[in-house]
Amino acid sequence: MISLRDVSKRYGLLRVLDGVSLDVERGEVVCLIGPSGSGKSTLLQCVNGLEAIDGGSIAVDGEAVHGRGTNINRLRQKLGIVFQQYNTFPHLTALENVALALRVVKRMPRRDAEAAAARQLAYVGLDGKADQYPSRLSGGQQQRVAIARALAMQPHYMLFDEVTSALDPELVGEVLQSLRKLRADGMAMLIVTHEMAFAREIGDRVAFFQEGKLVEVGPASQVLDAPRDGRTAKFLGRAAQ
Amino acid sequence: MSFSPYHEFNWTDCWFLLQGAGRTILLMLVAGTLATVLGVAVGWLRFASRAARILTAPAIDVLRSVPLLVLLILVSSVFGIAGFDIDVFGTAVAILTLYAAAFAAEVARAGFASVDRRTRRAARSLGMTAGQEARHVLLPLAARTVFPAWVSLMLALVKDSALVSAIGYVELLKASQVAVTQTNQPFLVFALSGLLYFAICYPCSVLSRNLEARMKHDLAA
Ligand SMILES: Nc1ncnc2c1ncn2[C@@H]1O[C@H](COP(=O)(O)OP(=O)(O)O)[C@@H](O)[C@H]1O
Ligand SMILES: [Mg+2]
Repeated sequence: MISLRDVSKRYGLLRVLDGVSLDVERGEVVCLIGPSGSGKSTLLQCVNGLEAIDGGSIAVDGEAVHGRGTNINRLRQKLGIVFQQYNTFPHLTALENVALALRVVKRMPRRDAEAAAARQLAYVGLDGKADQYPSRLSGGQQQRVAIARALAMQPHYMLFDEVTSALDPELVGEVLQSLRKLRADGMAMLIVTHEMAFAREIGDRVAFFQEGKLVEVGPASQVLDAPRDGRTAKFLGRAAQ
Repeated sequence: MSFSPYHEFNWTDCWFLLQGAGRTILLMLVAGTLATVLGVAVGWLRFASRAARILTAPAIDVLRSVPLLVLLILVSSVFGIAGFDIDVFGTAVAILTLYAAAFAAEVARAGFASVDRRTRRAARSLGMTAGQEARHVLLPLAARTVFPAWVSLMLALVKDSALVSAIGYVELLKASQVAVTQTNQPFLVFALSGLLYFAICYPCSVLSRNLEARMKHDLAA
């Protein structure tokens, strides 16, 4: 379980996260929606310790992410993250992108790492692209390389940060397809998205986020179709236009 | 037959020039390697720490703005006056290294700064330690960005190394000057010496162009 308790974070005077509490169970899919600048990306990066927090605590399977004694590099292997801008390694082929951390972090022999990487590429539908460099791949393909790269570490949880918002509309579908497949395979996910239809389809629960606060959390259909909080309703009304 | 202080340019002179060229190559290899290692280390510090940037700035500015010839003569005279029995090769290497390292540090710093922080973050997010990320992401990406600048620096070093003749190290230029005093054939000697400099630098630049193309193979054509 990913468990956030009263998490707060500031950038200077700006309160980016303000008393956020949220749980993501194993196998559960939680979608995070909210206006841009509300702190969603920051929240994801706090969950895997890429960002520090100023108050509260975040635990993954009971281990404090920001705890002093925590081996964060080991803990991060449980938490795959995929970013809006893919951030593939431009100097490595698709296969090497996926195999690198297997060799370096998990210390797998090259052959095993590459075999595992090939399986992950196949999983996201990129079997034919193993030897291509990112510059030769479309945005959707690069994003799927990034997904395969995170999955290769065999994480227990996947964090997705607006993984389709940098993509041309015709490429969105292929990336969402990989997320559907993951959901079917029981992967626990925390997904930041602005695709409301997708959130309704894939999310067990939806959390609405505004100005660093979790305004409303509940079953996807409830939050999206019958929001209890006026701010959620207002946001959904604007998003529908 | 009248007496002449000169002799015809012969194989001995030619061999003498080749030895000079050998010493020029040796200077380039030793000072180039040391300057690169030192430059990457200092460039890393300057990239990673504001304090290091401020602390190292004076040394870098001085090394980059004082002419190499002045540095060479200054240091060897100071050592001479202080009564140190200096090793000419050691002094030449030390000064060339510091001089080139000052430039290499800036090249390296620019290279590190050119790497997208988000790409580095992605590496950390997979569980890589800072060291693993540096080795597998930061360094290779920085290296290929600044490789052409680094090659220019090394070629400049070969040519600048001619200046160490001023403190008496017999590298290619000094060897040529000596050969001229013995043969009085400056045109022939310096033509040969220019050819030797070319023979040192040209293969390096061809090799570097090939390497550069290989490193950029992944960029869209
Ligand atoms: N490294 C940073 N330094 C200072 N401010 C930041 C930094 N990262 C994000 N912010 C600010 O924090 C707020 C939340 O950003 P972010 O988490 O990216 O929001 P979202 O992902 O919901 O759009 C924004 O106002 C943003 O400008
Ligand atoms: Mg964001």
